Amino acid sequence: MRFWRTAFLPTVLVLATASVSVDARGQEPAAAPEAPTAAPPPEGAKPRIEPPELVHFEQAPYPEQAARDGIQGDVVLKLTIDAEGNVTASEVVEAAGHGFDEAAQRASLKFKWKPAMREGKPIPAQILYRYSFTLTPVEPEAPEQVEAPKTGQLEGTLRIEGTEAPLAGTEVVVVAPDGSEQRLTTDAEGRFRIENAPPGRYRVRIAPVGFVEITSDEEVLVGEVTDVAYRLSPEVTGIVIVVQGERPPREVTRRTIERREIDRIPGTSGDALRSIESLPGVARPPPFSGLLVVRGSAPEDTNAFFDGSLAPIVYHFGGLSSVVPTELLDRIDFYPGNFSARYGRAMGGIVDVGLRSPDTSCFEPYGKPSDRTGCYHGLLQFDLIDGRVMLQGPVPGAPDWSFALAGRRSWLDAWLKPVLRESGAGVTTAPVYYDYQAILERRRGDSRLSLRAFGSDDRLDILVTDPASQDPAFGGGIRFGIAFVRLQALYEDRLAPGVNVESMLSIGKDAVRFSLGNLLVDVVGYPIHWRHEFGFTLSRRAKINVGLDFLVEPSDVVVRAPPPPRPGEPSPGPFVSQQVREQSSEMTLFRPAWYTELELQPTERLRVVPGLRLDYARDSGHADLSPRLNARYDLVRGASSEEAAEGDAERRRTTLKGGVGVFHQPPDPQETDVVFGTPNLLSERALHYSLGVEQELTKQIELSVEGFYKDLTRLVGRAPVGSGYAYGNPGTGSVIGLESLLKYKPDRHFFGWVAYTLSRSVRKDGPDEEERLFGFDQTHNLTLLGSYRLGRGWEFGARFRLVSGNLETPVVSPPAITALYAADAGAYVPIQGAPASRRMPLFHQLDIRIDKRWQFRSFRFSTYLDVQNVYNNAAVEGLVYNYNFSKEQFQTGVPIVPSLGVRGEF
Amino acid sequence: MAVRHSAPIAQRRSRSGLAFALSIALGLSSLACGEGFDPANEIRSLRVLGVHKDKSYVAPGESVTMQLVYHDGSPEAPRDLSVLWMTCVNPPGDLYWGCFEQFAADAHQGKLPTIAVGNTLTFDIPEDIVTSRPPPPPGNPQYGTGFAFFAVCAGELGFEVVNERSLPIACRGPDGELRGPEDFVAGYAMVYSFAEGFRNENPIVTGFRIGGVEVEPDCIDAECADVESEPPDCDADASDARCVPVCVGDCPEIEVRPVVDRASAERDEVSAHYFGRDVWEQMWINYYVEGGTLTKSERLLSDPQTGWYDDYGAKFTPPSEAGPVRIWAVVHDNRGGASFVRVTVAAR
Repeated sequence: MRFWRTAFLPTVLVLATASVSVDARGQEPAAAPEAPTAAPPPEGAKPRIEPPELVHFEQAPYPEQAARDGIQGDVVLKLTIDAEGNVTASEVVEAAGHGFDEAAQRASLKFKWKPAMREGKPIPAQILYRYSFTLTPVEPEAPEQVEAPKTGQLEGTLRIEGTEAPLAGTEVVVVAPDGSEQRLTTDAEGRFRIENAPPGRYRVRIAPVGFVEITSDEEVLVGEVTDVAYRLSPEVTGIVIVVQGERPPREVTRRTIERREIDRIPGTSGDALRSIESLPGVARPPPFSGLLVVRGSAPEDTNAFFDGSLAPIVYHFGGLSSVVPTELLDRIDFYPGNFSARYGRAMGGIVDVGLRSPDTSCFEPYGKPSDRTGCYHGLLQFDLIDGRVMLQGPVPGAPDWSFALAGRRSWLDAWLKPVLRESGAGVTTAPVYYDYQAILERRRGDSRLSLRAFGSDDRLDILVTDPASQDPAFGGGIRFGIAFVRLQALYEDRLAPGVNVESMLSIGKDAVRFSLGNLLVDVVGYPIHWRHEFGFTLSRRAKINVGLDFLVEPSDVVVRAPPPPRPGEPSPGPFVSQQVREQSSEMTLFRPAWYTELELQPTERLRVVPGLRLDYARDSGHADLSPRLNARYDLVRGASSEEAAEGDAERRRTTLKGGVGVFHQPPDPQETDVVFGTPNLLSERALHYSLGVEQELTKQIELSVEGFYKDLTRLVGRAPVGSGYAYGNPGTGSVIGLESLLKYKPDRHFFGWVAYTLSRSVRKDGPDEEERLFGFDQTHNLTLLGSYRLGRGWEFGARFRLVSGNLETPVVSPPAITALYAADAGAYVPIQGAPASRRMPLFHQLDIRIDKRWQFRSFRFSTYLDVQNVYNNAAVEGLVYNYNFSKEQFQTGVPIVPSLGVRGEF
Repeated sequence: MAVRHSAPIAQRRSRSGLAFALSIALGLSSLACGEGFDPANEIRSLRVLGVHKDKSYVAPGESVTMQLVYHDGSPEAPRDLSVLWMTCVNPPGDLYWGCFEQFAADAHQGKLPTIAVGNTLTFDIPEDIVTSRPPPPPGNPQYGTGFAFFAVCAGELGFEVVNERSLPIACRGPDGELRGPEDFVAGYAMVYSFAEGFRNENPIVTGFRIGGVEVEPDCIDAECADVESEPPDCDADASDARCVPVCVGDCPEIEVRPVVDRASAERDEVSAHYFGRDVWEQMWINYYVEGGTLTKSERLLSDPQTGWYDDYGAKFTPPSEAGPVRIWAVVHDNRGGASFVRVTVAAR
């Protein structure tokens, strides 16, 4: 084994002694450093300082133990060189250990230099010198040549951004003015050089694996040295989070958003789940609602899962952040409609969030990718809302096992508590949330066993001493708490060739406690969810999947409240003076389901997936059969990777897609409850139809257009019966719409898309009722977003949204009276017009995000600034009224909100 | 100020009772504030302050006497006011608007709902108000409801359907024009009737304090429907706490509050009997003033969870002009009980 030494550090900054004035331009990444050559300065130019030049290099002995262990290292020394060129002092600035420091220090004292020169006179100087110990043989660098009189010189340095460490062995492609191309490789100090370069503009392209590509034009002048420095940003590596429209082959379409996109979408503070709101088909929800309104369906018609286990909540406090941090997500499957028979009990859409496998991958110093595994990773992040910590890696002594531990706590309470007190509220517990996740996973061949424990806890406890004038019930002690925990086991394996199994069992606890004055909701449930699916590959063109989807939930329920109002009904008046009902019971929700799906591919271009699902709900006493059919057909097949490699990449894929299916959703437990509802209600039903096309426009750009229609029947409603009301299934509705997505797939620099949805969602509360717009109907929803990597660790993104205004149920206008006075409550009750019949002004908002990342040798530090509503648009979210509803004003939404976060990770 | 959210309307059901609860919790700040509107406690037009009932839980077959407490703060006052009452029992869902269909159905059959004219209504509760209803859900109380609708109008009242979602009553001025919220207030008060004959007493108000000093109020409870104000004779007794300086520039705030007996917060017998829960009434105070300003419109008095709350006063700033100023405090409980107290201060 031999080692080789480096030439002196091109990035060295000469720190002259007191007699030397330092030209610091060499430190500026954007400016070419002063050329360390003997070229005479132009007439009248400022006198130049020439750095010292090494004329004798002393080779240090390679430390024996380090050589045996295969350890390499770099030592950065500060050398003091006198006017004679002798090294008078050598100080270790950056140590490498393993005996490298002492060896380098001793050898450097024997170096001989041509002293630094100022106006031709030798002067003492200090320099930084990197002494590299490496086991790779390499020839010493040739001495610098004197350039030809009619040419110039192009040379430069590649460094890793944030560390200034040289990037050695990297290919640099230089295209000369005449179009000729040279491929150079950087030396151990990251230097490259073209001598005798004809003058003109050169294009330099650097695209090392694991770093963001740089392309730059440089000007070479006769008799001059163009010395450039490039800082390359390591690419963000790690997991890819996939947000899917519908995942083939069992659904209609697929849209993929990589993590590169998800945690950079402006306006979401890097929260992956909130990025769903930027997809087509998803309506803009009211602020702080945390609702998912998918293709015109009610929020409660869309179910959310964590790896198949039903999630009671997805967001903390209605949308502040999701209950599982982005760093622990593996994928987000989002099905806006026509979803697989695997999923049921929902008429709207499905969001299935997959937790990741613990990350045990390794990186070389400065974030360079590596094939090694078995490394630990940690993360610490703080922003204005919360702080989080995560640790993951291999389990010591158990080669197939890995783990991840993570936790988060908000500190909203730190600043919200004083605000609430200032507004007159007594605060016992200001809003606070926690979440935690633990994953223990074993991977062996095709087998994967993942054991998880995760949960969340949101709490609030305040005393409002100024009750709301609209309804004094909203005063006094307000306690809110929602918590859940899940113990989950996930198993995937290939039992035999062509036979796969996926099984998920989760046992958990959900606790919801809410009390307000005399009103109380206290529900503690113990959901047990079991999913089990076998997949049998029958032939190359056919596969069948059969599965079970069992949900059992024993619960203790205490609810004390007046009967809740129904949509479309007039205001029920203040709660405060209404007689409450109470239900206190132990109940068990039992909702088993069985399903099967056939994946057929009769031709290479056609894929058809018929499916059938049978659901039973013991609480309502009904069973529902839901047949479904999805299909895709490639009108034009895209170029395969082999064809693309052969240069035949011009053929762009065109795919037709469509689906039709029946979807049932059982009534909510309280709707069939004997106290608050009516037993034996039927399940609500929806027919989903969709038809669309996907067209590849370029390698990076794809257009997807899809029309959809939903026919809703048997919607739960109520009608007067005697002196009371009875629930039934009189409601109907429909949703029609068109989704389009023009997407630029992420590359090294940019990602972005334009999503537009046109839709109309209506409801009819009964056969004799008038059809009305659904309360969350949004006719137009346009989202434009993009993010660009500027280099040097900077990234800038922006999102602009233009959305139809929210719908409001208007209050009648004067001169008629606008409200009735509920004397027992001392409050007015509005007299309302047609439900959801007044649309607020158009919503528009611009959000931006700026990221900056610093890569150090063994860890990375990053920060972001996410600014919502940059131009502080006073977007109208609703209406507010005076005490008797005779005067109204627009209620505006969130003003400009900057959010700053910092993160360190290794 | 009142705020109405679209979310409850759009919420198809309360699977998201949870989300609903959360939105309530988080929306409290917006419920409590607003800019650009006159405070609810400032009386500058015709205002109803409440309905005094001699009993708010009434046994079947009993009568309840209701008195409308209102004040005309219009610059045109005093004006001739018309007052009318209509009653209805057991509307569907015990919802006030269920009566509108009943009124319309009665009108269609040529029948008129029970009507009374004047400030006072005697509401005869039917003997079968409870028994005529279907049995309640298991474990829940069996009761009937009576609704008394009132309308007070600075003009002529007449039966007319202006809006199907409101009372079929209109108030018209001398030229036949419809009168609006400044001159016409309609509303309702409820009574509950339980098979067990449960009772609910009105809150006990014994006086009024200004700046910590107990003063002689103009009226308490039903008297406030009729009794005129009695400004203090500040020339005779300048130390009377009701004599306050006019406010010019930076003025000190004076705390005002009714004197409420803590025994007013009763145990909720219905909850105890049917649900086995020992809970107390929720109580709060509505403040009103016809001049100057009050810092609060509503104040918590008793909470079922946390109990009595002593700091229930409001801060009064006298007007800049001299003259009498009336201040009202209406003490409510959440079972239909209400008590009134009024005091007149003299701003000098």
